[in-house]
Amino acid sequence: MDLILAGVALLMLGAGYWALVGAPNDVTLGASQRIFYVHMGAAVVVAVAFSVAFAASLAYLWRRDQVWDRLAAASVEAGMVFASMLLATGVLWGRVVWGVWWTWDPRLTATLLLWVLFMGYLVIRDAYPDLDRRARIAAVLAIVFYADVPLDYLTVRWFKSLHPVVLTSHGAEMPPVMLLTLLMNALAMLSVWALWVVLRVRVDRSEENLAQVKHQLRWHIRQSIKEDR
Amino acid sequence: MGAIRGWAWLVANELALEMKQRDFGAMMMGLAVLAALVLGMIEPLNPRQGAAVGAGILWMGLVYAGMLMVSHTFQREASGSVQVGLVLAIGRMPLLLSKLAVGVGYLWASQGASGLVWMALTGLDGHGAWGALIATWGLSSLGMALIAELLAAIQVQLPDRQPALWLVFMAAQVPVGLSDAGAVRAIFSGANPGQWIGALMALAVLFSALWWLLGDVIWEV
Repeated sequence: MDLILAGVALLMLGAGYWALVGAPNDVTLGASQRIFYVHMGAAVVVAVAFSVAFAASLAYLWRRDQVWDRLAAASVEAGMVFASMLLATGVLWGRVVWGVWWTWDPRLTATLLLWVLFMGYLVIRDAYPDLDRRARIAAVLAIVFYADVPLDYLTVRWFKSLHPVVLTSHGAEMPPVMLLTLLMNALAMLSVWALWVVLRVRVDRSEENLAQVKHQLRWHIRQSIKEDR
Repeated sequence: MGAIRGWAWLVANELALEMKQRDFGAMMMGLAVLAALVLGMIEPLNPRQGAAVGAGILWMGLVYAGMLMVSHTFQREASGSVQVGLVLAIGRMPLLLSKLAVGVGYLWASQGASGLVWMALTGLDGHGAWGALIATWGLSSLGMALIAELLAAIQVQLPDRQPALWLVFMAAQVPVGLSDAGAVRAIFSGANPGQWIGALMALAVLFSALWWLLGDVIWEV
């Protein structure tokens, strides 16, 4: 695990260097364009994280194995950090380029909607004490909410949006060095997300094991008290 | 035959209960009338403003009244830990279908009534596109009732009331509300609502599939 952590840290350092120093300034937007590497990297992670949660939720309903529920929850939890990062960097970029912190543009609104929905997923999940019911309801919510992910992607194509379109039918609209920096940042963030998910799943499993041990311990203590009497 | 009779009995009872309550339909109608009066007093609305504001008002009415009403029909099922409708109905699907029929019918009628009142008060006309207007209200009622039903079924199984679920309710209905408002605005402005009605149809198909596949999972005991 230490080696993996070191590898992810190195990848993040390399990606950070290229995003802040290595890649050239944009011709029209100057240095402010560098926010884009973090913004787009976070967008890739959000799409992957919610897609994994969707697939894991389907797998849970099919197999009824708690492993899939833990994976879905961990994926959304880590994905929400990147979704918050996506919104925050978007707000900063919008202030520089559009001159406003926020506008009710279809893409921005759809992304905020996505954030609200999956935040609701995490809150509602915690409201169920029963593990099976919680997993079942959470799986339904993740599948229903996932409908907003393609909608978010398509808003800039369907509606009149201020938001730039990066990926077109002709490929990525940017010079190769910028594309490489973007891919490096996306990869680095994806590896951080994946590591986070693995650790979160392990913590969840440990918490459940601990709860079981506590339950058994309570039972033994009660039994021994009865015997003493 | 027995199943159909049971289903019809459920729908009739649900509708009768909703009609007796009257508050949600009255809320939508009141919202349309009040908005027309207040906005008309501040500044007379021109047709373009009227189309945009009307679409927005109807959307708000649809989301709030629909959210409350569908949730309300499911609250009736929660009596302690016993789902009354599940016991009375022949199966889960007749129960879900009855709620859906009530939700769609009620939302459609409320939208239609408040839309007509809005048109009468502001002088807007549908440019002869009555079929498109009826289809828009029907499809949006279906899309919203489907997703609201899934969430309402989840809500009644929660151990405590969760404010977060209400936020999620509203957020999940935005795509339907947005397409509904877009179509109504296009019809009132004399533009082509085809793109918006297409979006409403796509959402209705998507939510129907989810509703069909997931409805039973929510009610598992």
